[in-house]
Amino acid sequence: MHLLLKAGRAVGRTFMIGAATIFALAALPPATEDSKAGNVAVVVRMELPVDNLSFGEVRQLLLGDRQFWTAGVRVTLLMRAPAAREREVILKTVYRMSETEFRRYWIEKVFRAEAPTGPKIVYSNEAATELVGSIPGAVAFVDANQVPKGLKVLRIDGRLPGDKGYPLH
Amino acid sequence: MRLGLLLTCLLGRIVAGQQRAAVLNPDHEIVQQLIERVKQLEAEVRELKAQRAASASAPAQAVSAPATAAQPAPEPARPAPSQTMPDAMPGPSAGFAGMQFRGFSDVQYHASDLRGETHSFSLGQFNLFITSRLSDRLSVLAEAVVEADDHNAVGIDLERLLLQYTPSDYFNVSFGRYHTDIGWYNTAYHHSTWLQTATGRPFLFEFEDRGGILPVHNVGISVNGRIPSGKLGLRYVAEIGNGRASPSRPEGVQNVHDENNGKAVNFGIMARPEWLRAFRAGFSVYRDRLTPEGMPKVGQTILAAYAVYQASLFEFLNEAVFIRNAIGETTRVIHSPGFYTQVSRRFGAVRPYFRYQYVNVPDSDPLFPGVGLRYGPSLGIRYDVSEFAAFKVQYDRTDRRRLSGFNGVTTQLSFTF
Repeated sequence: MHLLLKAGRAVGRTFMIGAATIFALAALPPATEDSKAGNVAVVVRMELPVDNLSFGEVRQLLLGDRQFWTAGVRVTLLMRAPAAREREVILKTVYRMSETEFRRYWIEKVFRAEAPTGPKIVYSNEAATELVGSIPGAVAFVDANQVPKGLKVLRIDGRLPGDKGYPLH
Repeated sequence: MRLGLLLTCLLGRIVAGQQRAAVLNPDHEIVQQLIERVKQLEAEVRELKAQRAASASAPAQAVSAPATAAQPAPEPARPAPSQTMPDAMPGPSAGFAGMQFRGFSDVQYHASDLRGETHSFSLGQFNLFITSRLSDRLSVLAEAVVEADDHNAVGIDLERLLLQYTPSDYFNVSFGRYHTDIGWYNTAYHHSTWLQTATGRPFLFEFEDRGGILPVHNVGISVNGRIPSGKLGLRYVAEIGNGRASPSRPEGVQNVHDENNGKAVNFGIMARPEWLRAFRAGFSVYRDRLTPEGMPKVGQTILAAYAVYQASLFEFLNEAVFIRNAIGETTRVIHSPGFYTQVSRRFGAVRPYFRYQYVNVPDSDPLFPGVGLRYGPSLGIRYDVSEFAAFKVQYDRTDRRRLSGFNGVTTQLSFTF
């Protein structure tokens, strides 16, 4: 009987410790890759002397209102092709336009001589990052989990992809 | 106690096992496989593009240098960025790597009770818009328009031709023929009816060859750029050119010859606040001297102001222009005010709109005495048949000083391609 009571107390303690362990594991922050999932990174070349942009500056870049980096290098916008998730995120969060409105916006922009050309279309994140590496001033908006080494991910209002409050997701 | 530790270890293993299972579950594996497959396909696409680029260049080499045909084939060239990524201009406009084309045009039917006018189908302007980037800082823009005049004769006009040099956001200089930066409408829509909500321009901004009273086109130099102003989004423009010819001359725009040595100048400032993207406001001052044949010189000053709100759903355009013509050495000055206001709201593909316009040129004006006072409302509906085509129906009522008013109905199919 005494042994049975002892075993019962031991099982109870074990369950308490086990439950505490489970809660502790659940409270741990998720893995880094997962925290970036769905985020769109703003990617440029390492040499570009910019590390952080305000969200307003990102809008100016994407709207073609700002066409030069501070270094005097022309901005080349690289946008994913229609139906890509990264493009949808950018249209929704930055342009706040539908696909049709986006196309019309750039027709007007070029027609009004406010920009010499619209954004360039890229068909994969890999192609986008490759071109960022080869075109000075190029900026791409790609899946944050697919940024290769050797490129710089810009902070937006001080936040990197995966950080709480990062706007491009 | 030992039993407790044993159970804790067991639980720990179970939890760890669950985590591993979450990582190694079948869905995750499938996703990983798909990613790998996408990467493979991307690599294949790149390879195919490289081969296509190499084969595309092969015929040119064969034509230009047949003697080298026996030499080993060159390695597949890596596609240039311009070949691999066309601009975001929609498909139909895709042109050569260094040159972009876009067209605008319209067909309309107009009926009016104005004496002397007949109900007619008419071809609108066939507008061929071309841009080309020569380098990071140099680009060319041209807008060539083929159109028929009132006698059904077709002619070609080069409406815009600009060589643009843009070293920074704060300084952009253009040389050539441009649309004068007076007000907003003139530089917003140029020669495209598809971009406009209504079937045509307000009378105030009508082209010179259609009886317009403003110097819509100019040949010279135009400078514009951003003004460091934070979220206010200020911009400036400064222009110097030949100005418009006096109405007594046959051609309204002085493309190659100015009627006098004085040059027209225009200065403007405009705001596009970051916190209200759809809003634009601006002010400009234009100054020129005209020398009509057999008449005293006319010193012309044009003040223009606008406040425009143009969002996807709602549009509210307001512009006012004040023309001051000072005649010769006398103190005689003629003032001609004009304005229009336009409001529209989009409901899906349908956008009803209303415009009211007013222009009052005194009969004593030395340049446009025949324009007089004209005012009235326009009411219309624009229906976007597709992304690049619109159907519009518009009713216009125009009242005039000492002349009977008249009504008009215009239906228009406008499109871009």
